Amino acid sequence: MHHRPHNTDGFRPRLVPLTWLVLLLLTQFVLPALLLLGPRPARAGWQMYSAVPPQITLSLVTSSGAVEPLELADYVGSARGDLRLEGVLPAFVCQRHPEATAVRLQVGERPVEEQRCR
Amino acid sequence: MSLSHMLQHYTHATRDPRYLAFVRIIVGCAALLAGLETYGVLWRISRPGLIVLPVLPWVPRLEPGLIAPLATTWLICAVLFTIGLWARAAGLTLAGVIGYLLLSDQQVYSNHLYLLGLVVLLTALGACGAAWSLEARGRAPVVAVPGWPALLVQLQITAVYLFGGLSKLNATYLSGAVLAAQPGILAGVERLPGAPDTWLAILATGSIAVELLIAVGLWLPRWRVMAVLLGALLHGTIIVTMGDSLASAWQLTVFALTIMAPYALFFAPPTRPTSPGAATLAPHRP
Repeated sequence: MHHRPHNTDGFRPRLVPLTWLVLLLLTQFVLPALLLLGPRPARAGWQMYSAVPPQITLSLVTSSGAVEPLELADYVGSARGDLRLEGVLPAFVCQRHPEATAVRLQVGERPVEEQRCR
Repeated sequence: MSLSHMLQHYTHATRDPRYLAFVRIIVGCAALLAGLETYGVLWRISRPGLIVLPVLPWVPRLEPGLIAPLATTWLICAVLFTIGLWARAAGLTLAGVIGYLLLSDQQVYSNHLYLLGLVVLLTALGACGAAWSLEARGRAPVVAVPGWPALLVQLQITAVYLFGGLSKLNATYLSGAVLAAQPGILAGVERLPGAPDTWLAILATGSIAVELLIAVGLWLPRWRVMAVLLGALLHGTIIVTMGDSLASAWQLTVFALTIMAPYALFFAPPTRPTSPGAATLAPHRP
Protein backbone atom coordinates (compact mmCIF):
# COMPACT_ATOMS: atom_id res chain seq x y z
CA MET A 1 0.00 0.00 0.00
CA HIS A 2 1.27 3.44 -0.83
CA HIS A 3 1.25 5.98 1.93
CA ARG A 4 1.78 9.61 1.22
CA PRO A 5 1.68 12.82 3.20
CA HIS A 6 -0.98 15.23 2.00
CA ASN A 7 0.53 17.79 -0.28
CA THR A 8 -2.31 20.28 -0.51
CA ASP A 9 -0.47 22.91 1.50
CA GLY A 10 3.02 21.84 0.55
CA PHE A 11 4.64 25.21 -0.05
CA ARG A 12 2.10 27.50 1.49
CA PRO A 13 3.99 30.38 3.07
CA ARG A 14 4.08 30.54 6.83
CA LEU A 15 2.28 33.85 6.62
CA VAL A 16 -1.05 32.18 5.90
CA PRO A 17 -1.34 30.11 9.11
CA LEU A 18 0.05 32.99 11.15
CA THR A 19 -2.49 35.42 9.68
CA TRP A 20 -5.35 33.06 10.53
CA LEU A 21 -3.98 32.64 14.05
CA VAL A 22 -3.87 36.41 14.60
CA LEU A 23 -7.39 36.83 13.18
CA LEU A 24 -8.71 34.09 15.44
CA LEU A 25 -7.05 35.52 18.53
CA LEU A 26 -8.44 38.99 17.79
CA THR A 27 -12.01 37.96 16.99
CA GLN A 28 -12.40 35.06 19.41
CA PHE A 29 -10.39 36.15 22.44
CA VAL A 30 -9.77 39.93 22.34
CA LEU A 31 -13.23 40.93 21.08
CA PRO A 32 -15.20 38.72 23.51
CA ALA A 33 -13.00 40.02 26.35
CA LEU A 34 -13.90 43.60 25.40
CA LEU A 35 -17.58 42.69 25.08
CA LEU A 36 -17.54 41.56 28.72
CA LEU A 37 -17.36 45.27 29.58
CA GLY A 38 -20.65 46.09 27.81
CA PRO A 39 -24.31 45.09 28.21
CA ARG A 40 -25.17 41.39 28.02
CA PRO A 41 -25.97 39.44 25.97
CA ALA A 42 -23.77 40.77 23.15
CA ARG A 43 -23.43 39.23 19.73
CA ALA A 44 -20.11 37.49 18.99
CA GLY A 45 -19.20 37.44 22.68
CA TRP A 46 -20.19 33.84 23.49
CA GLN A 47 -22.50 35.12 26.21
CA MET A 48 -25.09 32.36 25.99
CA TYR A 49 -27.62 32.52 28.85
CA SER A 50 -25.48 35.07 30.69
CA ALA A 51 -28.41 37.42 31.32
CA VAL A 52 -32.18 37.52 31.28
CA PRO A 53 -33.13 39.00 27.88
CA PRO A 54 -34.40 42.56 28.39
CA GLN A 55 -38.12 43.18 28.13
CA ILE A 56 -38.88 45.44 25.17
CA THR A 57 -41.85 47.81 25.33
CA LEU A 58 -43.01 49.70 22.26
CA SER A 59 -45.80 52.26 22.16
CA LEU A 60 -47.19 54.94 19.92
CA VAL A 61 -48.37 58.43 20.87
CA THR A 62 -51.36 59.64 18.86
CA SER A 63 -52.16 63.24 17.95
CA SER A 64 -54.66 63.34 20.84
CA GLY A 65 -51.86 62.45 23.25
CA ALA A 66 -53.10 58.91 23.88
CA VAL A 67 -50.48 56.18 24.26
CA GLU A 68 -51.17 52.92 22.41
CA PRO A 69 -49.06 49.84 23.14
CA LEU A 70 -47.72 48.06 20.08
CA GLU A 71 -46.90 44.39 19.53
CA LEU A 72 -43.18 44.04 18.97
CA ALA A 73 -43.75 40.98 16.75
CA ASP A 74 -45.58 43.20 14.24
CA TYR A 75 -42.33 45.07 13.58
CA VAL A 76 -39.47 42.72 14.46
CA GLY A 77 -39.37 39.23 12.95
CA SER A 78 -36.99 37.73 15.50
CA ALA A 79 -36.79 39.71 18.74
CA ARG A 80 -33.52 38.46 20.20
CA GLY A 81 -32.06 39.86 23.39
CA ASP A 82 -28.92 41.03 21.61
CA LEU A 83 -30.62 43.27 19.02
CA ARG A 84 -29.64 46.93 19.04
CA LEU A 85 -33.01 48.56 18.44
CA GLU A 86 -32.46 52.00 19.94
CA GLY A 87 -32.69 54.78 17.36
CA VAL A 88 -33.61 52.40 14.57
CA LEU A 89 -36.91 50.82 15.62
CA PRO A 90 -38.72 54.05 16.66
CA ALA A 91 -37.83 55.68 13.33
CA PHE A 92 -39.09 52.59 11.49
CA VAL A 93 -42.38 52.57 13.41
CA CYS A 94 -42.82 56.29 12.66
CA GLN A 95 -42.52 55.50 8.96
CA ARG A 96 -45.17 52.81 9.22
CA HIS A 97 -47.50 55.07 11.20
CA PRO A 98 -47.30 58.52 9.63
CA GLU A 99 -50.33 59.55 11.67
CA ALA A 100 -48.42 59.06 14.94
CA THR A 101 -46.96 61.98 16.88
CA ALA A 102 -44.22 59.96 18.55
CA VAL A 103 -43.01 56.44 19.22
CA ARG A 104 -41.64 55.27 22.57
CA LEU A 105 -39.25 52.40 23.08
CA GLN A 106 -37.95 50.97 26.32
CA VAL A 107 -35.39 48.18 26.42
CA GLY A 108 -35.05 46.58 29.84
CA GLU A 109 -34.12 49.06 32.54
CA ARG A 110 -32.72 51.60 30.12
CA PRO A 111 -34.40 55.03 29.83
CA VAL A 112 -37.43 55.38 27.56
CA GLU A 113 -36.47 56.59 24.09
CA GLU A 114 -39.04 58.84 22.43
CA GLN A 115 -38.85 59.57 18.73
CA ARG A 116 -40.91 62.49 17.39
CA CYS A 117 -42.57 61.42 14.14
CA ARG A 118 -43.47 64.84 12.74
CA MET B 1 9.55 26.62 24.68
CA SER B 2 10.11 30.08 23.17
CA LEU B 3 7.45 31.92 21.18
CA SER B 4 9.48 31.37 18.03
CA HIS B 5 9.55 27.60 18.62
CA MET B 6 5.85 27.55 19.40
CA LEU B 7 5.05 29.39 16.17
CA GLN B 8 7.32 27.10 14.17
CA HIS B 9 5.59 24.12 15.72
CA TYR B 10 2.20 25.66 14.92
CA THR B 11 3.02 26.27 11.27
CA HIS B 12 4.86 22.99 10.61
CA ALA B 13 3.24 20.31 12.76
CA THR B 14 1.18 17.69 10.98
CA ARG B 15 -1.72 15.53 12.05
CA ASP B 16 -3.52 12.33 11.22
CA PRO B 17 -6.20 13.46 8.73
CA ARG B 18 -8.92 11.22 10.19
CA TYR B 19 -9.51 13.50 13.17
CA LEU B 20 -10.35 16.50 10.99
CA ALA B 21 -12.45 14.22 8.79
CA PHE B 22 -14.46 13.21 11.85
CA VAL B 23 -15.12 16.88 12.63
CA ARG B 24 -16.08 17.50 8.99
CA ILE B 25 -18.68 14.72 8.98
CA ILE B 26 -20.35 15.62 12.29
CA VAL B 27 -20.29 19.36 11.66
CA GLY B 28 -21.58 18.78 8.12
CA CYS B 29 -24.58 16.96 9.60
CA ALA B 30 -25.09 19.86 12.02
CA ALA B 31 -24.98 22.23 9.05
CA LEU B 32 -27.77 20.29 7.37
CA LEU B 33 -29.94 20.63 10.48
CA ALA B 34 -29.05 24.30 10.84
CA GLY B 35 -29.80 25.01 7.19
CA LEU B 36 -33.38 23.81 7.55
CA GLU B 37 -33.85 25.90 10.69
CA THR B 38 -32.25 29.02 9.22
CA TYR B 39 -34.49 28.78 6.15
CA GLY B 40 -37.47 29.27 8.49
CA VAL B 41 -35.80 32.20 10.28
CA LEU B 42 -35.06 33.94 6.98
CA TRP B 43 -38.66 33.68 5.84
CA ARG B 44 -39.91 34.92 9.20
CA ILE B 45 -37.78 38.07 9.21
CA SER B 46 -38.33 38.88 5.54
CA ARG B 47 -42.10 39.21 5.78
CA PRO B 48 -43.38 42.54 4.47
CA GLY B 49 -43.62 45.37 6.98
CA LEU B 50 -40.87 44.11 9.29
CA ILE B 51 -37.73 46.01 10.16
CA VAL B 52 -34.37 45.18 8.57
CA LEU B 53 -31.43 45.47 10.95
CA PRO B 54 -28.19 45.27 8.97
CA VAL B 55 -25.06 44.57 10.97
CA LEU B 56 -22.88 46.51 8.54
CA PRO B 57 -24.47 49.13 6.30
CA TRP B 58 -22.44 48.18 3.22
CA VAL B 59 -23.49 44.53 3.20
CA PRO B 60 -26.08 43.94 0.44
CA ARG B 61 -29.56 43.56 1.80
CA LEU B 62 -31.06 40.06 1.93
CA GLU B 63 -33.90 40.25 -0.59
CA PRO B 64 -36.67 37.63 -0.32
CA GLY B 65 -35.77 36.37 -3.79
CA LEU B 66 -32.31 35.40 -2.53
CA ILE B 67 -33.52 33.18 0.29
CA ALA B 68 -34.30 30.05 -1.74
CA PRO B 69 -31.04 30.12 -3.78
CA LEU B 70 -28.97 30.71 -0.64
CA ALA B 71 -30.74 27.97 1.30
CA THR B 72 -30.28 25.56 -1.62
CA THR B 73 -26.58 26.43 -1.87
CA TRP B 74 -26.27 25.91 1.88
CA LEU B 75 -27.87 22.46 1.81
CA ILE B 76 -25.90 21.27 -1.25
CA CYS B 77 -22.63 22.45 0.31
CA ALA B 78 -23.51 20.81 3.63
CA VAL B 79 -24.08 17.48 1.87
CA LEU B 80 -20.85 17.76 -0.16
CA PHE B 81 -18.92 18.75 2.95
CA THR B 82 -20.31 15.81 4.92
CA ILE B 83 -19.62 13.17 2.30
CA GLY B 84 -16.28 14.72 1.41
CA LEU B 85 -16.74 15.60 -2.23
CA TRP B 86 -14.98 18.88 -3.08
CA ALA B 87 -14.99 19.18 0.70
CA ARG B 88 -12.78 22.23 0.99
CA ALA B 89 -14.63 24.24 -1.67
CA ALA B 90 -17.98 23.18 -0.23
CA GLY B 91 -16.91 24.16 3.28
CA LEU B 92 -15.56 27.54 2.26
CA THR B 93 -18.73 28.27 0.24
CA LEU B 94 -20.93 27.19 3.15
CA ALA B 95 -18.95 29.38 5.54
CA GLY B 96 -19.33 32.27 3.07
CA VAL B 97 -23.12 31.82 2.91
CA ILE B 98 -23.39 31.68 6.71
CA GLY B 99 -21.12 34.72 7.03
CA TYR B 100 -23.19 36.75 4.60
CA LEU B 101 -26.44 35.82 6.35
CA LEU B 102 -25.03 36.72 9.76
CA LEU B 103 -23.98 40.13 8.44
CA SER B 104 -27.16 40.76 6.47
CA ASP B 105 -29.43 41.20 9.48
CA GLN B 106 -28.96 41.17 13.26
CA GLN B 107 -32.04 38.98 13.54
CA VAL B 108 -30.31 36.07 11.80
CA TYR B 109 -27.63 35.87 14.49
CA SER B 110 -27.54 32.99 16.88
CA ASN B 111 -24.58 31.61 18.76
CA HIS B 112 -25.02 28.17 17.20
CA LEU B 113 -25.03 29.64 13.70
CA TYR B 114 -21.99 31.81 14.38
CA LEU B 115 -20.11 28.85 15.85
CA LEU B 116 -21.14 26.62 12.95
CA GLY B 117 -19.85 29.15 10.40
CA LEU B 118 -16.53 29.45 12.20
CA VAL B 119 -15.96 25.72 12.70
CA VAL B 120 -16.87 24.99 9.07
CA LEU B 121 -14.50 27.72 7.91
CA LEU B 122 -11.58 26.58 10.05
CA THR B 123 -12.13 22.92 9.17
CA ALA B 124 -12.24 23.78 5.48
CA LEU B 125 -8.93 25.62 5.78
CA GLY B 126 -7.38 22.22 6.46
CA ALA B 127 -7.19 19.14 4.31
CA CYS B 128 -10.58 18.05 5.60
CA GLY B 129 -11.29 15.77 2.65
CA ALA B 130 -8.05 13.82 2.90
CA ALA B 131 -9.66 10.92 4.77
CA TRP B 132 -13.08 9.32 5.12
CA SER B 133 -14.32 11.12 2.04
CA LEU B 134 -15.51 10.36 -1.47
CA GLU B 135 -12.69 12.43 -2.92
CA ALA B 136 -10.12 10.26 -1.13
CA ARG B 137 -11.50 7.00 -2.48
CA GLY B 138 -9.19 5.23 -4.87
CA ARG B 139 -6.21 7.34 -3.84
CA ALA B 140 -3.27 6.27 -1.74
CA PRO B 141 -4.01 6.90 1.95
CA VAL B 142 -2.81 10.19 3.34
CA VAL B 143 -0.83 9.84 6.54
CA ALA B 144 -0.32 13.47 7.55
CA VAL B 145 -1.92 16.83 6.85
CA PRO B 146 -1.04 20.33 8.08
CA GLY B 147 -2.02 20.58 11.73
CA TRP B 148 -2.60 24.30 12.15
CA PRO B 149 -6.28 24.40 11.02
CA ALA B 150 -7.11 21.73 13.61
CA LEU B 151 -5.37 23.77 16.28
CA LEU B 152 -7.44 26.80 15.29
CA VAL B 153 -10.63 24.75 15.70
CA GLN B 154 -9.43 23.71 19.16
CA LEU B 155 -8.77 27.33 20.11
CA GLN B 156 -12.19 28.27 18.77
CA ILE B 157 -14.13 25.93 21.00
CA THR B 158 -11.93 26.88 23.94
CA ALA B 159 -12.97 30.51 23.40
CA VAL B 160 -16.64 29.51 23.43
CA TYR B 161 -16.41 27.69 26.76
CA LEU B 162 -14.07 30.28 28.28
CA PHE B 163 -16.24 33.30 27.50
CA GLY B 164 -19.42 31.30 28.04
CA GLY B 165 -18.21 30.85 31.62
CA LEU B 166 -16.71 34.30 32.16
CA SER B 167 -19.80 36.13 30.85
CA LYS B 168 -21.92 34.34 33.47
CA LEU B 169 -19.84 35.75 36.31
CA ASN B 170 -22.42 38.41 37.13
CA ALA B 171 -24.86 38.88 39.98
CA THR B 172 -27.96 38.11 37.92
CA TYR B 173 -26.69 34.77 36.65
CA LEU B 174 -25.11 33.74 39.96
CA SER B 175 -28.43 34.40 41.74
CA GLY B 176 -30.05 31.75 39.54
CA ALA B 177 -32.44 34.24 37.90
CA VAL B 178 -31.41 33.26 34.36
CA LEU B 179 -31.91 29.56 35.05
CA ALA B 180 -35.24 30.27 36.78
CA ALA B 181 -36.45 31.76 33.49
CA GLN B 182 -36.05 28.32 31.87
CA PRO B 183 -39.28 26.36 32.53
CA GLY B 184 -37.57 22.97 32.31
CA ILE B 185 -34.97 23.83 34.92
CA LEU B 186 -37.45 25.53 37.22
CA ALA B 187 -39.76 22.52 37.14
CA GLY B 188 -36.87 20.20 38.01
CA VAL B 189 -35.61 22.36 40.85
CA GLU B 190 -39.07 22.69 42.39
CA ARG B 191 -39.15 18.92 42.88
CA LEU B 192 -35.96 18.99 44.97
CA PRO B 193 -36.06 19.34 48.76
CA GLY B 194 -35.18 22.75 50.16
CA ALA B 195 -35.49 26.21 48.68
CA PRO B 196 -35.54 26.36 44.86
CA ASP B 197 -33.56 29.62 44.97
CA THR B 198 -30.68 27.86 46.71
CA TRP B 199 -30.66 25.07 44.14
CA LEU B 200 -30.78 27.57 41.28
CA ALA B 201 -27.78 29.44 42.71
CA ILE B 202 -25.88 26.16 43.14
CA LEU B 203 -26.71 25.11 39.60
CA ALA B 204 -25.65 28.51 38.26
CA THR B 205 -22.28 28.35 40.00
CA GLY B 206 -21.81 24.74 38.95
CA SER B 207 -22.53 25.48 35.30
CA ILE B 208 -19.88 28.21 35.25
CA ALA B 209 -17.36 25.85 36.83
CA VAL B 210 -18.19 23.16 34.25
CA GLU B 211 -17.68 25.52 31.30
CA LEU B 212 -14.36 26.77 32.62
CA LEU B 213 -13.22 23.22 33.46
CA ILE B 214 -13.97 22.08 29.91
CA ALA B 215 -12.11 25.08 28.45
CA VAL B 216 -8.98 24.16 30.39
CA GLY B 217 -9.41 20.40 30.79
CA LEU B 218 -9.49 19.57 27.08
CA TRP B 219 -5.89 20.80 26.82
CA LEU B 220 -4.62 18.70 29.74
CA PRO B 221 -4.13 14.98 29.07
CA ARG B 222 -5.05 13.99 32.63
CA TRP B 223 -8.28 15.97 32.59
CA ARG B 224 -9.27 15.34 28.97
CA VAL B 225 -11.64 12.42 29.47
CA MET B 226 -13.28 14.18 32.40
CA ALA B 227 -13.73 17.30 30.23
CA VAL B 228 -15.43 15.22 27.53
CA LEU B 229 -17.77 13.66 30.09
CA LEU B 230 -18.56 17.08 31.54
CA GLY B 231 -19.26 18.38 28.03
CA ALA B 232 -21.64 15.50 27.32
CA LEU B 233 -23.37 16.12 30.66
CA LEU B 234 -23.59 19.88 30.08
CA HIS B 235 -24.98 19.74 26.55
CA GLY B 236 -27.25 16.78 27.28
CA THR B 237 -28.72 18.60 30.27
CA ILE B 238 -29.17 21.80 28.27
CA ILE B 239 -31.04 19.99 25.49
CA VAL B 240 -33.31 18.13 27.93
CA THR B 241 -34.09 21.06 30.23
CA MET B 242 -34.00 24.05 27.87
CA GLY B 243 -35.26 22.50 24.66
CA ASP B 244 -38.87 23.28 25.52
CA SER B 245 -39.93 23.36 21.87
CA LEU B 246 -38.86 21.48 18.77
CA ALA B 247 -37.17 24.63 17.45
CA SER B 248 -35.10 25.23 20.56
CA ALA B 249 -34.18 21.52 20.94
CA TRP B 250 -33.12 21.59 17.27
CA GLN B 251 -30.91 24.66 17.80
CA LEU B 252 -29.36 23.26 20.97
CA THR B 253 -28.61 19.98 19.18
CA VAL B 254 -26.86 21.87 16.37
CA PHE B 255 -24.80 23.73 18.96
CA ALA B 256 -23.91 20.51 20.83
CA LEU B 257 -22.84 18.69 17.66
CA THR B 258 -20.79 21.66 16.43
CA ILE B 259 -18.92 22.21 19.67
CA MET B 260 -18.47 18.57 20.70
CA ALA B 261 -17.21 17.13 17.40
CA PRO B 262 -13.92 19.06 17.73
CA TYR B 263 -13.27 17.36 21.09
CA ALA B 264 -11.79 14.60 18.91
CA LEU B 265 -8.97 16.92 17.83
CA PHE B 266 -7.65 17.07 21.38
CA PHE B 267 -6.99 13.33 21.18
CA ALA B 268 -4.83 13.68 18.07
CA PRO B 269 -1.47 14.97 19.25
CA PRO B 270 0.36 16.99 16.58
CA THR B 271 3.52 15.43 15.20
CA ARG B 272 6.72 17.35 14.78
CA PRO B 273 8.43 17.68 11.42
CA THR B 274 11.10 15.02 11.07
CA SER B 275 13.68 17.47 9.80
CA PRO B 276 13.61 20.91 11.42
CA GLY B 277 13.13 23.71 8.96
CA ALA B 278 11.89 21.46 6.19
CA ALA B 279 8.39 21.95 4.96
CA THR B 280 7.81 18.22 5.67
CA LEU B 281 4.70 18.26 3.59
CA ALA B 282 6.43 17.71 0.32
CA PRO B 283 5.39 14.43 -1.25
CA HIS B 284 7.13 11.44 0.17
CA ARG B 285 7.38 8.92 -2.58
CA PRO B 286 8.03 5.35 -1.54
